[in-house]
Amino acid sequence: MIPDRWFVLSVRSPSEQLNNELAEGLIALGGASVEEDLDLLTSYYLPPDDPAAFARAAQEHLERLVDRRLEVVWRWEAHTDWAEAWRRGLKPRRVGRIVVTPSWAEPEPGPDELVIVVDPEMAFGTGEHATTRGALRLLQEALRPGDRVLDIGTGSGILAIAAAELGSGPVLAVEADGDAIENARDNLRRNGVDTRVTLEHAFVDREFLERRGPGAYDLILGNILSGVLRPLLPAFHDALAAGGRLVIGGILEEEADDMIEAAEAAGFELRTEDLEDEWWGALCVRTATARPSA
Amino acid sequence: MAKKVTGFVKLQVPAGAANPAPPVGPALGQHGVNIMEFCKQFNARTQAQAGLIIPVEITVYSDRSFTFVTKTPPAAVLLKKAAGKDRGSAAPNREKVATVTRAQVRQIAETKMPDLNAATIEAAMRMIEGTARSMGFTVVD
Repeated sequence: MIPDRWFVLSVRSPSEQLNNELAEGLIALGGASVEEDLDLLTSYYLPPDDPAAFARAAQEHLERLVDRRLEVVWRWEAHTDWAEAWRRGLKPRRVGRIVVTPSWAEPEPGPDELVIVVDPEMAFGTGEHATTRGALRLLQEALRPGDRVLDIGTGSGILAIAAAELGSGPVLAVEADGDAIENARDNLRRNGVDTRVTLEHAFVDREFLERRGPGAYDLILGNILSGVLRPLLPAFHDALAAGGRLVIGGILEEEADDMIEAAEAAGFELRTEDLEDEWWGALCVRTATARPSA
Repeated sequence: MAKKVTGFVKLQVPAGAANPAPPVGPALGQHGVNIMEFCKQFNARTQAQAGLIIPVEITVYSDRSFTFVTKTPPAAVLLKKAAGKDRGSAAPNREKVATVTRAQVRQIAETKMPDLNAATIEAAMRMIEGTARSMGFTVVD
């Protein structure tokens, strides 16, 4: 949720040694993260009902944490569109046949090219990021017409939109983050694929995949993080039909060997690797042989 | 020619859980940085340390590119987490408040190694043990 204004709380740290503990305290009070400006540590909060009482309680909590008297101050700060400076510089990006563009730019697509409009808000997935480009490249290789597609951690919705535009069957796009869901919904509508792509606000775990039933999908897309993807590999295998394909991304180059090993152990065969900057991704194919039962 | 530095931002961010909510958004956005790209890189590099708050220093250049360096939390914080205590002893010589195992000390020394001025893991472990003693923590085998 984005408020009209933020409650901004700062504490003066009596010693650099205490910065980390005070930061942890500010985050425990509901802050997302902490900015350090010399000895002043600052975090942002949704507007509390009683600001003065919140500040007093925060001060007591922090003082208990470090066992000292502390100076705590607070103020209001209007919400501003802080991504504006970055967004202004965005231009259309070509990834294979796909042109990813913000809605205010005017790309000139070639005859074979597909235009996807993605306006970046508080969600992952614009053509600006190497992992997104990598996943888009692998998707173009992986997708077959009519595929039933599952996109987990859809973020801005970019991969789900691309799959639909490339001729997939029904797409289920899942996202755990509430802000990202709104952004994805807007982007689906902008591209006119909101009837072909179903959006679901959920956290994908093993149970989620089991509920879909075995062999429910022909293609699974997951551009997230190695730590999220690795434990789900066996469940991906079960959720895919024979010959089904898996596109994974958001993995650091140094983690690639581990991921390949884990994917092979789960019953996948590595088909194509993609590397851009330090980011690795892969297209894997479900092998006919069932994985050894765990 | 070296790129000109246009911004320097210090943050403390939960490992593996950076998002564009303030202060990350405004602190980086005002320098024109791709906020999501920072979050994604930070989360990929720190996901193994979930539960810790990671100090991070970000340098922004005139072409809006950036580099960042993550630090490790102070030894005292890591020791408290290992011991399951939220504070040290007021009188560390007389009053021992917690114990940590040598294996935990080794693990903390390995985590802290990049930030410590220690040539070997044993030297780093001695530094961590010193911090533990100063907090009234006993190190056991």
